[in-house]
Amino acid sequence: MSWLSHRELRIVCGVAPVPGDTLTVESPPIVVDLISPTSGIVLDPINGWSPNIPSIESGGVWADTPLSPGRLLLVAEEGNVTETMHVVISGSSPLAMMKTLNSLYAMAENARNFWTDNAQIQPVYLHWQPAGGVNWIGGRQYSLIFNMDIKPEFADSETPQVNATITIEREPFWSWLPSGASPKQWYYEWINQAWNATKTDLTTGTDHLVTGTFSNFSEFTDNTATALRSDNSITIPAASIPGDVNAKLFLWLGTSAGRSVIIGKRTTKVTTYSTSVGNAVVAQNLINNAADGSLGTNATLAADTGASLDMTNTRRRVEVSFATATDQPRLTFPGVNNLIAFNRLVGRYNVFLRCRQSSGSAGDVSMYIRYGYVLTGAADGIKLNTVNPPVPAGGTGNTPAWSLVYMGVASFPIEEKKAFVNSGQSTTIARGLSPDSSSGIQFVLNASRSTGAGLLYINDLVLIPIDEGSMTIIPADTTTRGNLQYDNTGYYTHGLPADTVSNAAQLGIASANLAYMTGPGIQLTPNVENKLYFLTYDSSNLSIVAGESVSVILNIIPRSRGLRDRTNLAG
Amino acid sequence: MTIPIHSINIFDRPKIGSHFILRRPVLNYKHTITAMGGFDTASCDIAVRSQTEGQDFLNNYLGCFVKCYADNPAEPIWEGLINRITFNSGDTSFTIGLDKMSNRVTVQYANDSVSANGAGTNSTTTTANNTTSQGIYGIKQTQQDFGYNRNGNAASPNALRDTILANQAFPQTSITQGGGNTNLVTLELIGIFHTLEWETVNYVSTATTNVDVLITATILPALGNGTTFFDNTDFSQIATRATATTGTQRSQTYWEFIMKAAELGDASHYWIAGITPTDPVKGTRVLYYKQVNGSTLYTARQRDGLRIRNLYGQLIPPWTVRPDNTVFVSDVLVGYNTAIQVDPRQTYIFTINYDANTQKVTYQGSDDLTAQGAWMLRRGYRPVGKMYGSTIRQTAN
Repeated sequence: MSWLSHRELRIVCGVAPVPGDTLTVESPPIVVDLISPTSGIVLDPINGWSPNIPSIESGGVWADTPLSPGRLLLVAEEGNVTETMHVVISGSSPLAMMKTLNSLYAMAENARNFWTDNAQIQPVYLHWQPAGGVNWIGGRQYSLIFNMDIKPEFADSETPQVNATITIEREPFWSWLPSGASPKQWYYEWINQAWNATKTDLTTGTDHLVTGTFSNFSEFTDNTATALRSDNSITIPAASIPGDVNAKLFLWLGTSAGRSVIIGKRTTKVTTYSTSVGNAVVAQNLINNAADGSLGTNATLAADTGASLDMTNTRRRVEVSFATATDQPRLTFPGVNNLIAFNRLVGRYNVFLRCRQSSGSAGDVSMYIRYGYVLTGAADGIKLNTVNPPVPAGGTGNTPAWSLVYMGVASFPIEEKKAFVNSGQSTTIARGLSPDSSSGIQFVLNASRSTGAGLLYINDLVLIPIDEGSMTIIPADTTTRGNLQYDNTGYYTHGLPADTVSNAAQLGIASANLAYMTGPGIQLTPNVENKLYFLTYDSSNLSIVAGESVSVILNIIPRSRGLRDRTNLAG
Repeated sequence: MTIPIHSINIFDRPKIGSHFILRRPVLNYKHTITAMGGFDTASCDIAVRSQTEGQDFLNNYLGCFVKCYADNPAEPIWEGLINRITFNSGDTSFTIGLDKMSNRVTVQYANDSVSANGAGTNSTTTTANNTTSQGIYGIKQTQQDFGYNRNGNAASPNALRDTILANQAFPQTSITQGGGNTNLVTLELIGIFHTLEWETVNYVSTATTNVDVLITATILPALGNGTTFFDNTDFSQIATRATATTGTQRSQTYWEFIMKAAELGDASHYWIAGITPTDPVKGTRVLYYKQVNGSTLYTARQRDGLRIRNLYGQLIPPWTVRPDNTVFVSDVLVGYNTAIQVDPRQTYIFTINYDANTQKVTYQGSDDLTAQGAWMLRRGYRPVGKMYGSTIRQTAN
């Protein structure tokens, strides 16, 4: 007996109703069983079917010049998989045999017409459960079929029989749930419990793969920096994301009405050191409190009940008076107490400043950020966008009415070098710097005022990663709807692979109201820890509410190129 | 190894509003950005799953404002208007576009009424408008030249004006046989500065006025489209420029006028003009008029095909490259003494072209003969004696 055989192999058309759902509008799926003797279709015992692995589309895109040896791969995407099945179709009569053959033709037409009009909205997918040897049974896995070609050869036999070659073009990867299934079903497979209609709520409860809360500020409990009081990220453990292909996800955020959110994913670990705890490695966050920075020209600290806590456990803002109104460096990150070691970061990050102009008109003050090594002159470093801070209603008072200002994109490492060089230092390291203290990266905020008397108030500098997957979700209705949702599992699109966003009218009811997204969307990298960083803001005026806490619910559908590497009893 | 999905977000036509309509991933994305103008052109394909969806595009989205995104959700890589839509369905291509649309028409003619004016005077008909079309797409004007009108009577020029308006007030469509890939919708996009080509400016004056004052006090306020496509009342990006200029006589488009003003330079440097990207704080776009940026922002190496890098050698994503910066090729003419003459390793980038399929960004400097024809078509002031078209052939001695 071969180590690999097929315990189940079916072509299925439709989204299966959830067990116990008596109100479903889904019809039972149409199933063509390819290995059941009673179905009339049997895989050829020798050349039946073996799954293929996707190959690179068109060989990839390369940078190739005759001036250099070799060539560089720029882009490589995996394409659809084409596989061939050889089946024997038979029947008790010619009519019975033709009915079976025609069911295959119908499947092919359904696969080609899926979502090409509003009539055929049922996904057609391959359902496979491998087995092998005596004791091994694999998990069920599914792949959406885009096209089928069926070539029959009418066999010369006494009983009605057709030898058919079925060529299938399917999506590149295997999904561990059927097309169009609720991603919460995976959670119940994950915990080896039965899935039924009482468990389908994607927006409430704790029975989800990941639940958590993030804050739109980030504050440490004290100046030892060993624990975060609030954090703008959630963590998905490596063990929660099986498979070998990026997992699709369903994300629900308990945001308030009118809130937009920026989300970025990062898998590379970010760490830094703290001198106050003897060079202990502390958890990285990507927010630098302005009051912990190094003050520049005309910059002072002022108490502000609407500011986030700094490392001295005090709520303070940085205030720039513009006594010298020309372009001057006003604030430098990291300061003595800041913990972001920028030179440890890898990737591209959106840079945001939460700030406001206290009075006057937008345009009175201009500001920009430079980043690099040892920024002493105005031309040093890499300069980001020149922007004008808004003048929100908060004015000069203690108020959480900060505005979110997009400053540009910072990219790390700055140069070509990629390694974190160990200089062999054994002495304690200043907080916020690398072991090689001469190579610390700085962010410097420059600002000038051309007219008026407005001051610049600054709360913090925020980085959001964008290169591993990112997006913003913006509700179209900015006043009455909250609770943003993102789904790329195909659940909300009835099996069609697509990104959708919406905001729900109320908890527990995922009714779709209009929202839209920008950016490429997010999938989770398997077998590594994934962190999602969030930043919420008011869509209408870019304002931030200090300390706003948002609950998060996350479910996934794992995927793989070949066999599933995890079997569930319930799966 | 992957590149981020490129996507397009489609919003209302600017004359109607700013609401979001839909988002789609795109294929075969390309864009061009120029120092003179800003976002220039872009194109992409959208795979639609049905005839209905393709026809929806033809029917609903011409003239809509779009933003194109790659990996950064906070900043689009290109933005502008949908200028032309082609839907390939089987053997047929349906195209609808704004190029031939004109919802404001005037006709100029040379008047030779002996009894009235004598020979050589120019007249212009009154303006004819289709306000319904203008209420959807904004004002798009054409001015026709009737030529020599012997009897001086405006009836014929008026008839021409009215005929053009009646037939071209709305977007023009065409059908051709033998289309491309079926069920692909191709969008051809134009940058916002092209809307300055949609109106003609009539400014006659013998006074001399500083360029920036002329732009802010006279030219921009007279724009019929007002704040529809950009904020024509925000002059924060218009630099002071003391060069004096006189007014124009015959009609030019607003863009021709502004481009010529920029090409005057300041006797030492090029100046450029265009429309900025949408400010994420203010939510508006403005006209910029400023001296070119001669700072070196990018480096490149001949040995890897001139992939763009920052000053410190780090590769940067090709979709983020912008013109109005200088690129320095670091591995040619090593040891070159820049004190002798202008450094040939440095090129001011006038135009960049990005192609998502090849992940290449190509840039053009000042002396690119392959682009000479295209440049001269786009310039306000053209040199005497040069030819359009292909590069001049060099013959051996």
